[in-house]
Amino acid sequence: MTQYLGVKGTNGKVSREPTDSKGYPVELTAGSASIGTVSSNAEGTPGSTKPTKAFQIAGNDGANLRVPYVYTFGIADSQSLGESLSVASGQMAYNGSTWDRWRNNSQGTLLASAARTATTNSSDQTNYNGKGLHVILDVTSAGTGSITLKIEGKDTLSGKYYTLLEGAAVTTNSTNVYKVYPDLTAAANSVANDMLPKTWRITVTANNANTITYSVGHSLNL
Amino acid sequence: MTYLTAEKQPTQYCFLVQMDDNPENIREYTWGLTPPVGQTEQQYLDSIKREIGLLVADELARMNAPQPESVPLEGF
Repeated sequence: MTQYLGVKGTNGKVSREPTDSKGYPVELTAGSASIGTVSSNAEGTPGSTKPTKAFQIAGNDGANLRVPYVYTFGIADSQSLGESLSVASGQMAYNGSTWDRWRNNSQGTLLASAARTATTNSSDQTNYNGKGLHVILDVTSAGTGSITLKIEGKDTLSGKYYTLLEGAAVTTNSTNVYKVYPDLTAAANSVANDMLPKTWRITVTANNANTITYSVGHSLNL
Repeated sequence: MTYLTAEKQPTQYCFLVQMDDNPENIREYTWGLTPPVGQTEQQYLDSIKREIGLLVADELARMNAPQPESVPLEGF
């Protein structure tokens, strides 16, 4: 793992420090968002008119002084970066050829709620750094339908799928949870003591041709 | 919803979808090549197309859903 640094300014226009022909940092004139070494009053406050003396690392958004501050992911969730220029950092992880953002626990939709009559696969899902997951099959109108959910890993070399966990047939309106995670106590048709591979999907097999309405979601966990 | 690309690659189908008028709302979906038992390739592709439409509609609905108003609890 490593960290990356970025610079965020008002409207997200700032991307790097400006330099002159000799490579020295320079102040940009009003009219464009910037960050750099500016002649300014160190007592300047965010949002004030840009001062002209002293020396301070700061930036301007085209009109006003914006004082950079360091923002570190992980201090708290849902923080606003405000209007100040800011430096953000986050973890990246190398996957053997490129760099991926480090993910937190996440959730999503595998199959949206709909009436179906045939076997249906989800799209291939990418697991960046999770260990396992919960898959939730929510049947809201079972009728006389019958389905069986399967969580599968994918060998991206051959394109073939292999089963991680296969549930029991579901024939009633119900919420069914399937778990895959290392060191869980395995339970037939609902819990697998296994890890989640990089690429995976679910398959919902239709055991008959009758209509059944359901959705499938997931919660991927570190 | 608009399909920007739809390709058959060596080990997967790959679809790039523009969800709405916002150029940032682009999603990539990949599906396995082999249809479920009993389905033709065309039936499988039709099923994928339907599922992509459902996923996009579901995500757009979540993105555009109004923030629910909070209701004060009496007695607190």
